[in-house]
Amino acid sequence: MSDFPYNSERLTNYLLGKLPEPERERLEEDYFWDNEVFLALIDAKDQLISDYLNDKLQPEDRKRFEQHFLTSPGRKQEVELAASFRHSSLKSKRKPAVFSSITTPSQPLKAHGVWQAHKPLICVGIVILLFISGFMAIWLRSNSLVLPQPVEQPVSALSGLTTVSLSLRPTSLRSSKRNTTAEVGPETETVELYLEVSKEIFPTYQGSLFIRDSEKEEEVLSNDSLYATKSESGPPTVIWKLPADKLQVNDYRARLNGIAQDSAPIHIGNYDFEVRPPSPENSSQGK
Amino acid sequence: MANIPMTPENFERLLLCLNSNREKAGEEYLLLWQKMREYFAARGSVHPEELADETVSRLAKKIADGEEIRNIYKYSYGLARLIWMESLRKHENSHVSFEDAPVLPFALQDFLLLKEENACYLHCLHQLTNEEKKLIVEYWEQENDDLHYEARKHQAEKMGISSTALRIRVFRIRKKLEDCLMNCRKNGPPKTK
Repeated sequence: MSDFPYNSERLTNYLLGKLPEPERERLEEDYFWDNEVFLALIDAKDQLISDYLNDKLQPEDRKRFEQHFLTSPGRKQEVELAASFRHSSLKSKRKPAVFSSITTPSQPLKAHGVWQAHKPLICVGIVILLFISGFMAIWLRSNSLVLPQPVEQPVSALSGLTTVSLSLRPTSLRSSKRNTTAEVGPETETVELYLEVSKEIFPTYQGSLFIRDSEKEEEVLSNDSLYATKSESGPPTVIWKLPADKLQVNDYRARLNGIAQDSAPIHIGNYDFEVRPPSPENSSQGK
Repeated sequence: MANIPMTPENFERLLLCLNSNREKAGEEYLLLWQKMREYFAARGSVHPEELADETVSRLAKKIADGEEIRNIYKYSYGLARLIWMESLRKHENSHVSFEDAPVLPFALQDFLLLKEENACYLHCLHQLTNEEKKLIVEYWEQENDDLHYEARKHQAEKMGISSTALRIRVFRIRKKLEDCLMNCRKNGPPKTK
């Protein structure tokens, strides 16, 4: 094996999709041929994950990490696991910077693919992390490993339902039976849109939210780090979590674009829905 | 996407081709598979593991069919590129209109699902030995602002093994966890009394 000089920048650029094609191919050929190069790549990858979890990446790299690096459920899982193991080994004085951005984790979440919302990956990752940390603390303690840090958040605190969910199809295909009204009350923190897409899965999706029927089409919210989750029994769904405090009683249109690798956005569809105060019927039932 | 199944005979031939020492061949195989996975992930594949499986299966079949391979690593890279191109073509042909797509049954994400997810983590972590658990926690432990490159070197020295051997052990643990999690998410966590 060759004596490979550790070049973190080149390897990191490769992982973030920043290398030009010829250099990319050269590096790929190198690491297939030379284990040392490959192990250096793994080190660079671990470093990148750590920097991401420690909030040390520059905004542009952070965006690239979320859009280019986290394209597969496997990599998302890798980051989740790294976060959980890192967290269980952290000394009490040193918390990842991203922890400070989370105050009240309150959204129920699914296994993988849910990495969006305002600070998508961070929020979901940290919520998962808090859960895993709790379990790991118990588990490691029971296996004679001492955890230096107490559990961040009791599991029960995350069980409150403050999320309103809507399953939407593109406006052109909407079924009349489908509910498109989100009843948002003072306790609502998140409105989750489950946007059906066709079988074509793009690495990432871009969502823009507009107020419908307004004379001037004005973007209310946008998110360009949305991901599709696969379903065995139906088409994939893009889940977009909207902060309820950004929504008013109004009619909205969510516009979804698919982002293919290195190419222009492709329009997927418009999804219309309404935000309304809770109906008296639901309010009296505490819904 | 595994079109060509990996038979035990083909797998044995592939191992032999990688190294005459079976243990080392196993390590080489694991590294090769990881390289493929990284390659497909870096290219933007949503399912790099499936493509890596397909590539090693085809590689093993080629070897079993007696194809002359001078350098298995360069050949593997060429094969991975070919499979990536094929997957892109397949991807292009798989566009389905909304009219043809079945309706997705609406399922709310609920606390039960979350509980099951955590049960999976717990179950899979229990599958690790104490030694594995200690190793993986230490692997991610970062004192001060040490780079992973340096921290891994120190860890390997402390354990009296090479850096390569350390990474291979970590790969194995990660793979074990990932496989367990995938299986658990598919079939649900085992029932406890």
